[in-house]
Amino acid sequence: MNCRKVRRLLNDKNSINNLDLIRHLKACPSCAREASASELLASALHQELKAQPSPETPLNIVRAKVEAMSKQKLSRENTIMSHLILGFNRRPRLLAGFGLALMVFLFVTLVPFPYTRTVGYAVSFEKIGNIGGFAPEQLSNVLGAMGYNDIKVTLNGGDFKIAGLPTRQAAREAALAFQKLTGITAEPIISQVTQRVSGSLFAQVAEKQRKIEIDAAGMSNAEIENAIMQKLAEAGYQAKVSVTTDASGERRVSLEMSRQAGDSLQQEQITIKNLGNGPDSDKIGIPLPIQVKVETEGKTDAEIIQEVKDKLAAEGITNPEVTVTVGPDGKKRVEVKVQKEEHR
Amino acid sequence: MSKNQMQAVSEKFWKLLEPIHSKAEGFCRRLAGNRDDGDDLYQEAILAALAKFGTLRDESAFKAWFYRIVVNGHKNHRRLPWWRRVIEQIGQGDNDIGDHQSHDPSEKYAARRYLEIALSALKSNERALIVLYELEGWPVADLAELFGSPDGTIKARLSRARQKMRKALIPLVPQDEKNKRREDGYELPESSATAE
Repeated sequence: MNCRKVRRLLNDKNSINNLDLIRHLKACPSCAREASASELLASALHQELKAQPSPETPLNIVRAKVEAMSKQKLSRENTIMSHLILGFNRRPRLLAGFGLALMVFLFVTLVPFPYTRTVGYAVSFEKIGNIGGFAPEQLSNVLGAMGYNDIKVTLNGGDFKIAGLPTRQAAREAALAFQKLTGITAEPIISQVTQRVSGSLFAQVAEKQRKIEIDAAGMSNAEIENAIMQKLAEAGYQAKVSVTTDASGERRVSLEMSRQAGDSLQQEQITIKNLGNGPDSDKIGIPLPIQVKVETEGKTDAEIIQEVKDKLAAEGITNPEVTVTVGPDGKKRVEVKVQKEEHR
Repeated sequence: MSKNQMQAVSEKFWKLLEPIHSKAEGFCRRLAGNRDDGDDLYQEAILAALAKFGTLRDESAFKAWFYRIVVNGHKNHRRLPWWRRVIEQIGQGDNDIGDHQSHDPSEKYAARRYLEIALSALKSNERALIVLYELEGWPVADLAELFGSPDGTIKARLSRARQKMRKALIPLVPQDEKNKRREDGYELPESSATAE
């Protein structure tokens, strides 16, 4: 008889006098221990059956308790929070899922991990050979005049490298300046200078956000376009900007921009709103561009000023400050300053 | 359903519960392991049964239907999140099966501890099966109806449950008893026989 059969027989009261079983138990300590445990269990069950049961609770008391519980449950279920708790209690896996998703989200967004960040750009010209009497300092001076002060120019054999450029646009300008100064036509290689840093996803997103602020007060649409394009170019973006003013005086900026040549264009619609505190503060308080033509030939400054004032008055602009100056080229320049109206 | 109809349904429920009240309450206490938890389980089961009473089509099957609710209630309670089970365990003292009034605490207390340790090795359904069969005296046919399984399956489950309980008790078998068995040879005691 094997142990497996013995253990099965231990469940069967008819096997109590089975000689094979008794013989096996004498020889097998493991099965003998199971038999002892079986004896303990049978004894415990026997004691439990013999024990006097505790007095039952009268049914009317149980009923009263159940009815009170029912009322309590009904009142509890009426609050939103109890609905939520009850819902989660009934679906513990859903709660665990929510918890896990939250933990993963927090981990991904807040725990820092290493990533590569672009810290600048470098331009290199490879195997350009002899570039005559060109000195790297010349290029440093030119780029310094353009506002790029921290650049590093190196000439190593036939290779020329300009490092420390803040944006891709700066790299293009530096390459162009180098080509103009040296007269070489070799294609520049613009490469990103990267740095391995540690930061959370949240920090990465915050770092990549670009904010461009332009004070549009007193600026025409074309001026705003130029200002936006200039700021984007400084940040290394190529952009097509179009500024329009609608009938309500609100300006809309349409932007098409790409990070570098060949990138897919991303189009964005931006609305510029005035930040004043007046009742119509969300409207720009600048009148639509008004063109005034004045013939200046053979007229004195006073006559020109008067004519400009008259024509502006006809357009509804009162009290303009008009000055006439003569430029170095001998041409007269008319400057008009208009007080911005508080409410339009 | 109008208030009067609800009242009538409730009355009918309590009338059907009355004959099995004592046994059902005792079963809950044994299933939960102690009197307080057993009473809570019983009241929760009644609450759930009252809510579902409209789904009971055959009133003659009330007993099996109610016991099934009790077993499911116990199963759900054991599925509680771990922190709630821990809090509840901290709040309660030693398990004492049915909290019977005992005359000889030492011997009976030990027997109950053994039984509780053995029962704690079982899953909720197995525990219900053993309590109903060994302590409440339900026949296999009734258990088959309650659990919706054939007689053979119930017998196999009972056998497996007993085996698990035995295994849980092996570490508690006194060492001298093991040695004695080895030296003197095994002699099956009459009480070791279990009903089948």
